[in-house]
Amino acid sequence: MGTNPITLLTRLRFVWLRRRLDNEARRELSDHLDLLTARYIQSGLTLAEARAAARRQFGNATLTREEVYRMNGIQWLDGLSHDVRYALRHLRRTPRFSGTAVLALALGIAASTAIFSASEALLLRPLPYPDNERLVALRSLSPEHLYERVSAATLADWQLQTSSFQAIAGYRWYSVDVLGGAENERLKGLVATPEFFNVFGVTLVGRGFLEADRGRRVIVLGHDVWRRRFDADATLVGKTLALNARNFRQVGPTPHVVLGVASAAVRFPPLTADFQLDLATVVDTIDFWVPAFVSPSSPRQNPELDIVAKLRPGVTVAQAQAEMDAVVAQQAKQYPESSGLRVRVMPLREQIAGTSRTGLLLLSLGAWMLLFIACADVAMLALARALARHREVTIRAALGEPRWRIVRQFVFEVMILGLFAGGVGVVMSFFAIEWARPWLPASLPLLREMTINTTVAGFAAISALLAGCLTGIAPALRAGRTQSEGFVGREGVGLTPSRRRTSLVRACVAGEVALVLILLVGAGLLVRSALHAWQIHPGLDASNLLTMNVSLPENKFTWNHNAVFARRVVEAVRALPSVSGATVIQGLPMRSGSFYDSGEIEGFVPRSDTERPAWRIRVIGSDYFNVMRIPIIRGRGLDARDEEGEVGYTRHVVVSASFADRYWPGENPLGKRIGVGHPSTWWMTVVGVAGNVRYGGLEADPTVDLYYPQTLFPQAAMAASQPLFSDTSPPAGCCVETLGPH
Amino acid sequence: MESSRSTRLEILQGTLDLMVLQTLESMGPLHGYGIARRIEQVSQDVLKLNEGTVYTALMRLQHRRWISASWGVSENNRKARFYAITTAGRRQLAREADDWNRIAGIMARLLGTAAREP
Repeated sequence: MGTNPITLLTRLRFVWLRRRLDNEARRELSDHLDLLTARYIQSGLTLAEARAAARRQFGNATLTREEVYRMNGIQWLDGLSHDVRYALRHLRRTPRFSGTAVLALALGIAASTAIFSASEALLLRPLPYPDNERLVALRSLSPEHLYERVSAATLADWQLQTSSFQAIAGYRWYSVDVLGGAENERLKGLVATPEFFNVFGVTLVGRGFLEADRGRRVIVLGHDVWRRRFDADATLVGKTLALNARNFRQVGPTPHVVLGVASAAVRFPPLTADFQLDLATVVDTIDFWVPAFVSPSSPRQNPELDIVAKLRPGVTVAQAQAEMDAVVAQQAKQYPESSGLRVRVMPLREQIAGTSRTGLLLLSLGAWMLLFIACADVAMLALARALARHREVTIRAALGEPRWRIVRQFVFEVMILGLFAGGVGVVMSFFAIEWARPWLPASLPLLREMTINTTVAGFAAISALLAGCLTGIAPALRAGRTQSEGFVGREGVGLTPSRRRTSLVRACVAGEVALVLILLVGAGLLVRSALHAWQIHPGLDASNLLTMNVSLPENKFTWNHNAVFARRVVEAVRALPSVSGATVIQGLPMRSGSFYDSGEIEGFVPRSDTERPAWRIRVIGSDYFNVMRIPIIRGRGLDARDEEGEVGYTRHVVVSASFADRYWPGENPLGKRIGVGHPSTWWMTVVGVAGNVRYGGLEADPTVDLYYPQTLFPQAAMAASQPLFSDTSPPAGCCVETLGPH
Repeated sequence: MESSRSTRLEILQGTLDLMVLQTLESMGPLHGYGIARRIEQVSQDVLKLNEGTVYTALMRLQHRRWISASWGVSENNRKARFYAITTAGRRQLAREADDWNRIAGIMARLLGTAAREP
């Protein structure tokens, strides 16, 4: 009767209007009764008699009204809403139980949600490039498993000799200054081969780079820069911009022709570029591209490009890896100095997310164990409560309520608790994430994207529901069974512990103890590792140290000006009252940004290519070792005279202890000479040995360093560091003022 | 006629629905009280139904869209809900009247036959 769609729609509408219809019905019925009463009065009865007669004739008005109301409802929905409201009332009446349960479950849910949001940001969310499953990084590794970049000629060879890839692109970090307008601005972007746009699926207004652009100064702009700085000028393509870029032929701005503009923002791919002032990562957008053209006749000696490729549809990573191995082996035969290099084909996500997968998995397991413990706790509480309500259950069963409804009622109670806990848990995890944000490791930039989005919220909701169900089932079933035990007296029934109940409780307790033990042991191990890491001495003393990033616009001044400028900065900063010492270094410790170089070393003969001398260059100001409290083991540090760099004065350098141990083991390194390049024409003399510093980070070995005075390497733009002994005063502000006019 | 005053025939739901539909068809739009009076009148007081059941019938009919409801003004100038039959309702009425008559005929023949037997 009445299952056709029209009836259904009408009935739904009536359900919606239920209350209003009920009000109208009330009026209608009372009017009807009034009219009946009036009729009886007319036929001679008194008011009271008339009313009674009217009621008799009408039947039970309240019953009618109830029946009509019920007709305008959906029966199962009504039952559901009734149960839910009853559950809510009951929970409100026992605030201590409800509060404890919600708190316990919320903690578990908050922990798992927070960890899940990290996993989601790092591992689940697709990278912001089209077809990102097909993107791979071609990592070139030296024999010591250090990451190496690739030279232009090698990239060209790969492009020609492989067929697994739809496109292979090389790129590296670059920056230019754009002039004009309200202020000059330093843009962060890439030097990239033309295939870049193909690999990353960048759509352009205008065009990308073609062979014909070789030799020309051209640029493609990023979307955000175009909108922000050029006001989304639609005619920008084809115009010429004056940019301060690296130009060895002239001093001053270089005109670049704008070939195209990206139609959407593009994020940076993974970068290992050497000199950077701000590490740009996958969370930042690219401001511009300038072209790099590669061919097999390009220089082969300077490895400078990072490589990303897009696999052809249907080609697996394993297949591509096999092909790359073959090509690399071929190249090793042709160019023996590059033998020993291996190339690994790695999905881009792995490159970006790093080794975090294992760690995140462990943390997730830990968080879920926490949730299970909370569930077991609440389950036992719920069980105790359900048993205490034994009388209520028996009465309800006696009144004819089917057992499944009683069980459902109890399940609802715990599920509602679970949902509340879910809400509280999400809020807690939100705050936890915000609190943890400043502490997130910079080596996993994607973590910055960690947030509560729809996926994470969905996960939280599902965990809450599951937790509720898990917690509620056992007590509910147990409660449903109590009706068969004992009788309902005034004090209720003496609760003799049934075998089944005790075993449930025992199982819960045992499970909880086991999980807690696991968690404690795991936490203990973590703390121990952290302590161990803390105890590793970095080699320098970073307490009371402030750093400052200073750079001159590229190509506005000649290089020698860098050293002069640096000296002025240091003097100005040293003059500040709260500063006890100041110095400069190119490339801050614990961050990338230093050059490396290789050459020849007097008294050391490499036995193979892999032993060829190489070192990290640290360009420093004269006071560096004092300010950073790095001990000088032998000889002396660099002084003002080294920094002056008079013509004819010997070029002095300081080496790290690791350098001395590697190349002059057991000998006195003072006075030995180091040459740059193969073969070397440019020599420096060692004048001191400094203690090792873990510039690469606490987990890495100390680096092999060569400390140059500034005048030897003026091309470096520099960062300044300054120590403070007092906590007072905001030094950054006053420094900016002092340095202001430049 | 005398004993019928105390006769309360139990009316099945469906029959009451049919009666309400027919009432609205022949009398035009009526309010609930009016429908009850008309049924009382037509049945010559034989049928004493609980007048409340009229309202459940009316709700059922509204669900099936055989009648529609609207507010109007009654004879004594009071606001009242008037019900009217719809086109679909008329069709249903015709169908059910047809069924009813057919069944009545069959029953009459059956019972007539039974009465004839000795």
